[in-house]
Amino acid sequence: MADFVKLAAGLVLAFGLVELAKFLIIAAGVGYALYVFLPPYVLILWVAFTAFAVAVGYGTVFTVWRLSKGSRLRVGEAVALSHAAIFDAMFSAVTFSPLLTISNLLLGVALYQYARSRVLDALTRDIA
Amino acid sequence: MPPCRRRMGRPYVHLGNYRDLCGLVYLLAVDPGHSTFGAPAPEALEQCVEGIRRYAKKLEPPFTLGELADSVPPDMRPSVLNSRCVKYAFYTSLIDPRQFAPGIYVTNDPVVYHNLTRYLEPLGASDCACPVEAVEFRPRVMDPLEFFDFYYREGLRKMFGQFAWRLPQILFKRRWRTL
Repeated sequence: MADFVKLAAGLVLAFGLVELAKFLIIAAGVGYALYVFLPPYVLILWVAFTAFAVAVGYGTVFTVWRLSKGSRLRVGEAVALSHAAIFDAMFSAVTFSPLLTISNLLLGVALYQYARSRVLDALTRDIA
Repeated sequence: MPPCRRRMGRPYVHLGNYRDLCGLVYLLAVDPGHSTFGAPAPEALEQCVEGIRRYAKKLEPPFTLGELADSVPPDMRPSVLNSRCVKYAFYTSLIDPRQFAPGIYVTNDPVVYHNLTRYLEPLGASDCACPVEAVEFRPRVMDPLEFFDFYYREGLRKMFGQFAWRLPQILFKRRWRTL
C-alpha cells in the first residue's frame, strides 16, 4: 500500500482519538451547561453526530487495513473507501471537528491517487 | 391492435433487430477495441466466459482484468486472460453515458447491451406497427483514466446528492409535517 495512504490512515486514527478526548471533556464539563441553556436535543444530536463521525472514520481505516493485509487494495475498493472518507470529512465538518475533517480529506485524496496509480499500472502492463 | 405509445423523455436500449420497433431509432455502432480496465456488467462478462458472473458480482467496480482474473478459480483464469471478448466487454463499458439523448438505441450485440443497461432503460419489442426510421449512432468511448475520473465523480455526486436530499428529510420531517 502507498505510504501516503498509510500516513493519512494514521492521521485519521490519531485525530479520531483527539476528537474522542475532546468529546469526553466537553460532554463532561460543558455538557451540563449546554443542557441548562440549550434544549437537550442539541446536545444529544451533537453527541450522536460526533460518535458517528469517529465511528465511520475508524471503520474506513479498519477496512483499509483489513483489505490490504493479505493482498493489494483493489481499484474498486479504493474508490469506495475514498468516497467513505470524503463522506466522513463532510460529516466531521458538520460536527465542528476540523482535525478529523482534514485527515479524512487527506485519506480520501490518498486513496484516489492510489486507485489512479493502480489503473495506470494496469494500462502500462497492457502496453508492455 | 393496441395504441402505439411513444416512449419519450428517457434513453432506452433494445437488443435485437431495429424492425421490432417503430419511429426514430438509433443504431449503435461501437468502434472495435479492447481494454484491460473498466466496469463491465457481470451479465456482459457472462456472454464471454460461462460462469464468470458470480465472481464478477463480488468485485467492486471498476476493476482491472488482472483483478478479475485473480478473483476467478485457477482453471478459469487462462480463458479470462486470453479472451478477446472479455477485453471487448471492458472496452464497451467505457462508453460515455452522458451523450445519450432521450430516444431509442438499438444494438444486436449482447455485450454492449448489458453494459448499457446500467445507464439506459431496457426496452422490449414494440407492440404496434408503424414505419421505422433508423439512424446510425457512433458512441464515444472514454479513455480508461477519463473513465476512472468520471466514475469517481459520479460516485461522489450520487453520495452528496443523496446526503443533501435525505438529511433535511430526516432532520425536519416532523417539523414539516406539523407546519
